[in-house]
Amino acid sequence: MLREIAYLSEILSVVFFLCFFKRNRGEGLWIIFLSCVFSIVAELAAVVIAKVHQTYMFYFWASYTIVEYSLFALFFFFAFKNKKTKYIPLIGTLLFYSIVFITFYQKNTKAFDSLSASMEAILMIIYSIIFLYSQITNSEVIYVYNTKRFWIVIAIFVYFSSTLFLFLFAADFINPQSSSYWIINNLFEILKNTLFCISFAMKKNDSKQNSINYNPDLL
Amino acid sequence: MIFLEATNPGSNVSLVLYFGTIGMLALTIGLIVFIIFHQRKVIRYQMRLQRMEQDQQKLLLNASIRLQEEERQRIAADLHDDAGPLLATARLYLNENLVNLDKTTQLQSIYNAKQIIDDTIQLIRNISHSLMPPTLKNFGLESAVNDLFQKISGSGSMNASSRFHDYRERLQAENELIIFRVIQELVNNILKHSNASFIHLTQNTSGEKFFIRLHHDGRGITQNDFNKLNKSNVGLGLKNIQSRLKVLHGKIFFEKDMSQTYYKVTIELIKDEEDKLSEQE
Repeated sequence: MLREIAYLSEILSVVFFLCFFKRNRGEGLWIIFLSCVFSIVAELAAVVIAKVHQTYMFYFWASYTIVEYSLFALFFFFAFKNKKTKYIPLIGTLLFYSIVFITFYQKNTKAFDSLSASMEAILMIIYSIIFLYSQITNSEVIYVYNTKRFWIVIAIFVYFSSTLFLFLFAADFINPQSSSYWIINNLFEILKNTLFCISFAMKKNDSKQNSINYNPDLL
Repeated sequence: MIFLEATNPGSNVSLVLYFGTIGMLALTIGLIVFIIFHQRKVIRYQMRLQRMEQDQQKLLLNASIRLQEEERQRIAADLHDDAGPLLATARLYLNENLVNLDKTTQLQSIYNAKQIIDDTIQLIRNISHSLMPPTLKNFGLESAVNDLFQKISGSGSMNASSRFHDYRERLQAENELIIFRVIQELVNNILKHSNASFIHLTQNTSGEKFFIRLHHDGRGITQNDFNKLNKSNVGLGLKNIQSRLKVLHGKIFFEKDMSQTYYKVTIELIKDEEDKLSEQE
């Protein structure tokens, strides 16, 4: 039941993005939209692939992690304003790809690629913390929670920090998809998609209104 | 079901997984809450700073307006009380009956009227000089300050001296006037309140900085007193000094000399700022 709700929440975030399309232009939100669409397609594909051959599942989930990571890393790359911090997702991505491709070409009998998923979660947590730190040190942004990006990052941060331990142990489950532990994933996926919906639905932030006016007479 | 799995003694993985997830979640939520509260704190602090800045600006503006009004009233009083009666008297001497009077009386009346008109010219010249000292306009800050100090010394009540060490290039005329007014105000305060026996002014430069220092041996104020007076409703002259220096992006420091015998006032300006201001104009 929870899995179906999680799936529906993914569709809902896509619907929200399309309904409030005008508000969601710019700020790299299209990347999040793409990741939601990709997630929906992948969920459907997973059902089909599982029926065809169980051994393909490892490669399928590893590929899914690579695409999902790439999209989120791209989002962070656009979200970071400082030139120096822009290097962090680039370096992180190189590290991620090198580790993931090594595990990808190793013969693996397990159904889930725990290493790449955990690596993705750790990198996403790091990027989120860097983003939030840059937001509180940026004097132009007064109310962080008034920005769409803030809610997207919070969604990513909460989801990956809550599922980090699940991904670490997921390879040891006999059947990852049917395991009761996946309730954690489904719960936080619902939360993540709800936060995405909030971000897509909120009004576009006007930076001029957000910054403190030090010279009111000059306006 | 989750709790059953977690409480199973054999299931170490479950325990690590659940506690790890809860721990991570708690950390994440804690961090988010901290960021939001920190932001609110920063906003409140910035708003308080902004309000203080606005209050200070308001005080300075009020002081400057009051001073302008006082200056206008003084000029109006000078014109009304001195120039007005003088011209009225001259008019009396030159009335229509003058043609009916004998030659000697006519000459006497014309001479008297001429004397009064000369006095009026001198009076208007004095008013004009108080608005813009001609020495300052024609010969610069150094001459104007020397002139002012000579006049004070000449009165015999106080020993006043000034020395410009490095003033080969004159500042912009408008900026010279601002600095001169600040010096005038400071000297005026010393004369009125300090009971000093001497004032000494020195000027020098250090790199891009331009300094004017005033020493006196009377009662003075320190930087703390100056800041307090600036924030209060009294100390109109000091607020005026502050607002004038703000135009030049200058600073002023009030301190007691190391020997604790003299009071020292330092005006600090940056030459570059002066050039920038002139370019803006």
